[in-house]
Amino acid sequence: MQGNSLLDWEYMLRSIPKVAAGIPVSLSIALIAFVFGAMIGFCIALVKIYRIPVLWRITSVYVSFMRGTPLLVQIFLSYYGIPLVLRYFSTKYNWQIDISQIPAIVFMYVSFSLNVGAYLSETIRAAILSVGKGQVEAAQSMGMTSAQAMRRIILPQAAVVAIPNLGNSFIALLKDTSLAFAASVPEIIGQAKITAARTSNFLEAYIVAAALYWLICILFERLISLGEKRLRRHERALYHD
Amino acid sequence: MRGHCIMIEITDLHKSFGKNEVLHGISLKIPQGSVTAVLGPSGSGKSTLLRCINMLEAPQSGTLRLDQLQVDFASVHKKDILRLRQDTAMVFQAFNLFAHKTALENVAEGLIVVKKMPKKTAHAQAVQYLEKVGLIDRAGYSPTQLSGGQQQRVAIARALAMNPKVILFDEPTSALDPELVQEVLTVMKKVSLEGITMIVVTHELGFAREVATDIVFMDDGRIVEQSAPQVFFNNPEQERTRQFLRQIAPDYNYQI
Repeated sequence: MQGNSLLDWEYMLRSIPKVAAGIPVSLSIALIAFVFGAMIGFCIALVKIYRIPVLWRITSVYVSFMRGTPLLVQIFLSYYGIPLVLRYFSTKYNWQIDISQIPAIVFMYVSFSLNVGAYLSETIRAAILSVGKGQVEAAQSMGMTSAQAMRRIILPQAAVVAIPNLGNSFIALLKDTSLAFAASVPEIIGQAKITAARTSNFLEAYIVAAALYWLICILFERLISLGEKRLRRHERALYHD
Repeated sequence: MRGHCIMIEITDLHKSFGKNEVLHGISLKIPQGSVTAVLGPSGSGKSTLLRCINMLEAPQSGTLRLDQLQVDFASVHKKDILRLRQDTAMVFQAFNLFAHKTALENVAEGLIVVKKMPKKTAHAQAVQYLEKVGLIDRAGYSPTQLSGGQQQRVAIARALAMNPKVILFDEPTSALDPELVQEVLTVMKKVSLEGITMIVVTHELGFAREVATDIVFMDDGRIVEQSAPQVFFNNPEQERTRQFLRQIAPDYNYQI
């Protein structure tokens, strides 16, 4: 049956559920890292916009480092570095935590969040600055606090501006999570490797992985464009009323 | 009771941008219910002075009293800035309507966020103010669907809705096409008849002459002359004022 055929189709079909078992792990890394990354990015954007003295320097170095080093290296730094640092403080202050009990995926959450946060900070900063200064002054002049103006006037408009870039970043992040296999995290690629290793059907397993990534990305692209349409509602013309 | 008591009193206000001082010790009293037109050549500091009153620009020194609220610019608290802004409203040259909100929502926004009104009440009130500026039929339009003149009238409704003690107009017609200027001036005149204190930085001498109760003439960061319109236009005290009037409106030379 295997004979002369290019691929073992039957094997491919059988391996789909096994590789797909990594989807929740991949998604959890992507979603958690994106949420925390957006928060980090928002804070950095505020630091840069308001030019907060010391923090401005620190965040500049941070962003430069995250953009100037490979994600894979950052993953290894988290994976090997964080336990070491934790162990050091744990013995010093007698915290009584067992570091070996912390699952590897936690370090992935950390390294992916930090990485995405650096990239999103620029997107978010540009989106906030795209809202005219005049509107901010109008909000302030009627007695809104900076926080109120941010929430009611700037963010709703900045979100519309940012959403195409945020969407791109999310798709890129989703694919980047495949690097987590390097830290033995059983996400899609990790599962594909484990499955294929038994019979050496690596090509089949990776084709399945590719197809799964593709499907997931198409799904999220749809979701993002739906979200964008919803956010752009106010821009729809009302000429017909 | 026009002009009976003083609504705004500014004393020795200094404002610099970097090393460049643009307001050299302004002192000014604005009577309650007055319409004060601030005139002067560009770069004289008119707009900066106006923006110092609600602290969109922070002066380096000086004091300001607005009704009961006393502020020392050198040591001003955030809380005082907010109160100052809640007691004043501003109409901008570029309208500055909130782009993601309809005309109605623009007027209601401050009522909801600053005055903490329920949305329904705020919208009901906003309708009344849109009616006042003649734009009730445009309530559901977004700013991009309105002409400049209509946008500015929404901005005036937005300012009125906050029920401020003073409305600050920063060159409200300068960004408008000439044929749209009149509709905005008409609304402003209507507002002035309600007795609300207005300070208007403007180049519209006709409006200043017809509607203003006081004229403040500024040049080079100082107040040159403050007088009633009849005096200012027909019999100005200062040579600098005469020069200004000659330059921008030669016909005033021939008036008796």
